[in-house]
Amino acid sequence: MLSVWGQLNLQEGMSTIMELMNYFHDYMMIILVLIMTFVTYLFIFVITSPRLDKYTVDSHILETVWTIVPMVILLFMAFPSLYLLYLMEDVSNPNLMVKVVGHQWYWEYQYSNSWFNYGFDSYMVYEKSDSPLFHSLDVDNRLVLPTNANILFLVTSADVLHSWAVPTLGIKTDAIPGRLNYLSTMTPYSGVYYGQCSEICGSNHSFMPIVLEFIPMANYLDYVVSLSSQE
Amino acid sequence: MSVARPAATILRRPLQQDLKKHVTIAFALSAVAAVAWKVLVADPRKKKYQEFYKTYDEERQFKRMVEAGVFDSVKPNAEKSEWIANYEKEVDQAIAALKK
Repeated sequence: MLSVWGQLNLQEGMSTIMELMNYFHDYMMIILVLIMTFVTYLFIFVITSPRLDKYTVDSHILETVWTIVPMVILLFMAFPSLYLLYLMEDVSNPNLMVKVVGHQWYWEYQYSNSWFNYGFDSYMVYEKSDSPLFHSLDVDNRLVLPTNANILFLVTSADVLHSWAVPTLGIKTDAIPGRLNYLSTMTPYSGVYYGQCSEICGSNHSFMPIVLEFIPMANYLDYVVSLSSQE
Repeated sequence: MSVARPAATILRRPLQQDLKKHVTIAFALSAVAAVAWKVLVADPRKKKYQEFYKTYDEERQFKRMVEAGVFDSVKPNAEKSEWIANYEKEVDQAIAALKK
């Protein structure tokens, strides 16, 4: 999944969390459209009305109403927001752990398990002879991961600030030198998902993309076995 | 012959009278806009997801993507490992047994 030209909305959600975020975004837009219409209408009325009241100095009722009503609206926004926030933070029993290290200007990935340890670098490619290329998005070595598995990413940086983001999975975290940030995701859908560095990190900040390749668990284990035999 | 009376001119607090009317209209319009967003955008999106995933076959889509050469780690027409072939056979047998 990747953005297309002229896209205004969020990308389709390929993980449960991102689907929920899309629904939450629609819910917030309902509230925002409500407020925007109300304010715009009154704004036009105030500009075009021939009447004027130059003797109003205060109104306790009005001040009370325009404090209570936004407070109630904010409560309606806060509860689903906090629910989703805590749901995103939940990291329970990861099946796989991947270390992500940001460099200038490439990503380094390391599969890190008790039974398998393999690391590689992921550079952007400018040309791929055997398949069509997405401009500034394709890499030489993709991060291959299994579907239907809880994956924990530990993200850090070796030099300056970077940010590791994959919008279609709804994940993004800063890569900060000297600090380990964590992210968790799970997707039931195979496919190739793209992201880009999201924190300015130098001249090639726009040219260090992230490509995740999700395949079924059986194929993933086969891939891991082939990697182990290469080592 | 009776003549219809013209509408009375509002001389007391005209702005407040106007405001009452227009704030009510603003509330009504914003409610309509919110409901329109829900009915025209939010609900169709949810329904689109539901309809798509009702008939979504993950295995078929994966095979399609493999044939199209989307993946780097799984090549089209690559020989399946023996253990995958055996595993798939076992799964098919288990599904067939459940269906009986």
